[in-house]
Amino acid sequence: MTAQARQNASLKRYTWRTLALMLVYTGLLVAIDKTIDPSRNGWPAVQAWPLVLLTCLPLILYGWEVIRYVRSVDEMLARFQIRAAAVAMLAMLLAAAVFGVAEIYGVMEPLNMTMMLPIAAVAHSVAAMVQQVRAR
Amino acid sequence: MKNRLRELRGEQGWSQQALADRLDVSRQTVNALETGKYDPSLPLAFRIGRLFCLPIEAIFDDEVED
Repeated sequence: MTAQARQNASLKRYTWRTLALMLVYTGLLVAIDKTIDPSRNGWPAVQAWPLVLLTCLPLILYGWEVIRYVRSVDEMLARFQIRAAAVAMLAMLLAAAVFGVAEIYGVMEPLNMTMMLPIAAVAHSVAAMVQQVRAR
Repeated sequence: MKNRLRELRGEQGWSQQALADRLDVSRQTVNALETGKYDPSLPLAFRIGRLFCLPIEAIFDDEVED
């Protein structure tokens, strides 16, 4: 299998698994928020930790998929992905800071933290695309 | 970093894709190498050297232009 074919297969796998994991993640958050709603139903904080771990599971699996993808592509594309991930991380940190400050000062209603994932995903995609275009 | 990759590939009559397959990298990487937009890692530079039966310094030139 050529490098190109291997990379195409990896990209396909990465794309559908990412989509599935993000759907699971969002589903879990919605299910916990709409049905169990631990804070309003008086759950002690310690009992809520398994839910936190359950919610983190799709994100950990997503992280593993990212590592697998970066390992499977060639060195230049891997470097692009790592740079794009750094940009996405920065975007997420900035979003967290803005959301946090806005919430503290009451400028905005508390924003759902799941907003940070699409922000990071968009930043990652744009950064990866810009680099690919520049390389061409 | 300047290099002679395009010239050496031309001598062999290979397309960028053919060279990419031989080096086990993507065609984009070959293109970026040829246009000097990407400097290869040491293992890739050695693979290129071995493929063309040339030392690395005969392919890549790290001298800064004035």
